[in-house]
Amino acid sequence: MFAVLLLTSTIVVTLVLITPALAHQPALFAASHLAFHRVCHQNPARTLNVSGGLLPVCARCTAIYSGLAVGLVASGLAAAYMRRSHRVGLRLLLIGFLAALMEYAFEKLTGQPSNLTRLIVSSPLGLGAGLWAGGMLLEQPRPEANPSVGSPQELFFDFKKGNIR
Amino acid sequence: MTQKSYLKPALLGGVVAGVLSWIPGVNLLNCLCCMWIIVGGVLAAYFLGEQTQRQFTTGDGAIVGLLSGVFAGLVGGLINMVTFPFLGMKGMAEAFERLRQVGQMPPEAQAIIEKLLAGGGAIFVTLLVFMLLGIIIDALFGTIGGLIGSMMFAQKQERLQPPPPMPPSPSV
Repeated sequence: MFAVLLLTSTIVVTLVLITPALAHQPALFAASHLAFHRVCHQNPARTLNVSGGLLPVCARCTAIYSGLAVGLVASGLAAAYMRRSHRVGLRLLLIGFLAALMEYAFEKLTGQPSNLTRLIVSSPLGLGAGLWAGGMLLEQPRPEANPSVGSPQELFFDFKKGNIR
Repeated sequence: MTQKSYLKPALLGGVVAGVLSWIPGVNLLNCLCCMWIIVGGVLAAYFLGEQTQRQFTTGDGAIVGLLSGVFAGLVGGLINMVTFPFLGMKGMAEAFERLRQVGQMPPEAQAIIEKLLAGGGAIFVTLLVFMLLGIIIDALFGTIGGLIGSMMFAQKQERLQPPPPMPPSPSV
C-alpha cells in the first residue's frame, strides 16, 4: 500500500509540474487542467508561474502535493533507519494546519501575501500528512515477516521498544 | 479479509465522493484539501468497520480508501461523459477562460481547446484522460481518507487480542 501511495503522489506532483510544458499537447493540457479543476479553485493570482506557464493548481495545493510526496519518501527513509515518523507527522500536520489558518487570517486582514508565503506556510501540512500516512502504513505489525516472534502484538511492541525510536 | 468485502464499502464511499465533487457549489469544498474525496475514504472505512465489527487494520482502511478514490474518479468521469452533450464542459470552459485572461495559453492550444469545448476534435480522448487523471488524484486522497477512517473506526490493535486463558479451576 505504501508503494501505491508513493506512486500516486509522485504521479500527481509530476503532472502538476509538467502541465505548463504540455501546452503543445492540448488534449493532455486540457485534461490536466480539468482534472485539477475538481480539487482546486485554480485562481491565476494565487498560482505559481513555472517556466512561462501557470501550474494547474494554486500555490497552496502545489505545496501540499509536493510536501505529501516528500513526506512519504521521508517516512520510507525513517522506517529504513528504524525511526517512527507518524507521530512527528501528526504534530507537523497540526502545526501546518494552524500556520495555514493564521496565514489565511493575515491575508484577509492585510491583503494578499505572496504565493511564496503560501507555498512555504502550506508545506508542513503536506509534509506532515506524508510522514503520518507513510508512518501509519509502514509501522503496522507484520506477523508473517518473522513467524518466530509470536503474536502480532508481541511483534509490534517489540518493534516499538527494541528497534524503533 | 477477502477482496469482496472491500468492494461494497468502497463503492458507497466512492459514489458519495464522486457525486458531491460534481454538484456545482458543493464541489467547492474540494478546494479544502480535496475534502469530499477524503470524506469518501473516511466513509468507506466506516462502512468497512460496520461490516467487520470494527475488526480491520490500517492497511485495510488504506485499501478501502484507495478503492473509494478510484470509484470517485470513475463516477466523476462518467458523470462528465454523460452530461457533456447536454451541459458542455462548464468547468473546463471556466478554467480556460481564466488562462486566456492572463495570457497563459499558446494560440495553437487555444484554437484546439476551443474546438474541444465545442464538442469537436479529441473531446472523448480528453474526457478519458481526464477520468484517468481524476482516478489517480482521487486514489491518493481517498487513501489518506481511508487511513483517517481506520484511525477513527478501527478497534485498537491491543483490544483485538483474545482474552488471556483462564487458569484451570482447582479440582474439587
